[in-house]
Amino acid sequence: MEDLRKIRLMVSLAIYDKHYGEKDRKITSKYRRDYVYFKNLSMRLGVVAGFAVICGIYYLYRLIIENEDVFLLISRAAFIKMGLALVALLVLYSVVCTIKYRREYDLAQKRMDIYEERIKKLNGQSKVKRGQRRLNETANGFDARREASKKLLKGNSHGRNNAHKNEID
Amino acid sequence: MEEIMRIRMRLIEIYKRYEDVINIAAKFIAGLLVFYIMSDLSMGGVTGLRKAAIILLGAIITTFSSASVFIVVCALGAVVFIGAASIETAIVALMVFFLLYVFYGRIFPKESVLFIAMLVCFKIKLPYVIPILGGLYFGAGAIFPAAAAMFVNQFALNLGEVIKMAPTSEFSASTMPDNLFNMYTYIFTDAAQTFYGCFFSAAAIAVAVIAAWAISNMSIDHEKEIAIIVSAIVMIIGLFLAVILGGSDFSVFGLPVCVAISAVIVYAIRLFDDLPDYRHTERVQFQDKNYFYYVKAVPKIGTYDTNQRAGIHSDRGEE
Repeated sequence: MEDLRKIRLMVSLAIYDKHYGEKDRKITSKYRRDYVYFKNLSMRLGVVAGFAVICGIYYLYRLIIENEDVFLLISRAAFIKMGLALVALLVLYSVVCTIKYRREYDLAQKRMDIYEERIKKLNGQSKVKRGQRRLNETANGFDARREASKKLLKGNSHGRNNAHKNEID
Repeated sequence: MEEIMRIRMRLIEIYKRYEDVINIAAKFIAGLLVFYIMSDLSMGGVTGLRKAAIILLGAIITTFSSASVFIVVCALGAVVFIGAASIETAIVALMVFFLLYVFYGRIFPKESVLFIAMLVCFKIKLPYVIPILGGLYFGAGAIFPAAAAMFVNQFALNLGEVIKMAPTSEFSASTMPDNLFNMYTYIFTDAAQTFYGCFFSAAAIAVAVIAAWAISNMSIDHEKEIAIIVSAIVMIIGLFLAVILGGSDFSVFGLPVCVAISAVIVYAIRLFDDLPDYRHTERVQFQDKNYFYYVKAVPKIGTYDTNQRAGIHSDRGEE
């Protein structure tokens, strides 16, 4: 029968792998700054596209409903206004998303740390067990040999057999 | 109360026993419900087997998809159904969904599910469940989807008029720009008069979510129950203000009744809110150098009692 504690550890590792493993490995394969940067980059592209649609709707409104002059709408001042609005929007989204993606990365990292800790525990536990067994065997062997040599010195030949038996145990 | 707690424990046990089946069935039924309600958008344009096939397909996809895929599939489903009634309106709807996705859904996919849930709940006259629930369990993340759903629902009262302007039966590519122009003019002139009402209603919902969120985070006794009551009262006052100031259309008698029923439903859900805290039944496979393991880990639900909930494990002598 295998060690129950070891099985429990392996179960917890397998459950982690099943639910988060792939996702967390993908996230933590990058540096934190790179992960946040790439995520923010794709978000910014989307925001720019959305902003372009809103600008189109807004300028159509001014052109169609308010009957404004088309040359007024494409003036330098209008482009500056648009640019400022876009920058403000991007700054707002960058702040929100940076906080969100950093938190996401930190959570994944934390889970990975726990996972690795458990793996270390699993390996360490088995190493310790193996080491302990060897130590016990050596100790048993040493004791047995010492007993045997004592008995041998006493002229008891039976002691050697005992020593051999102990060594096997 | 004892009896209610006993029933609650029994239900939790049943749920945990058949967890996988119940989860899949619940997702499938929710998908069916969402797509069935959505099919009304076609205004009779999609019927019979085609309607059934779209609903079934949508439900199957949503059963096995994540939150982000779910919102995209729902948006596409809505566009398909609207397109059956009016192609030009479907283009307008696609643009609205694109903006919602780009500015919110993509960044907060889980919270966006609240938006769809609230629109569905409008059909069963109990949309007020979502802002209270959102405030309790999603916090600030629920403000935007709940408010946006209220805005869209109020503004969608004009949808019938917009569809009538360019029905699919009269669709022609040559008249499409003219139709879009007319729709645009209608939306920003006649329909724009309802904007104030929509904004006020959305603001009232946002305040109700904030109230529920703020109170449920306080360190007081029965914080969640108090949050439900306060949020319901704030919602009633806010929506009546939207009627008076913004000209929104809410029933004087219907609104308090619907909000009260919603609050009771939220309270009932709150009784089971520690359900997700339980560990799920897990089936995992792994191996070491000697064995292959096929493990089914079942949570100990039967041993759960109020002492355990308080973090006291008297049988082990731990605190």
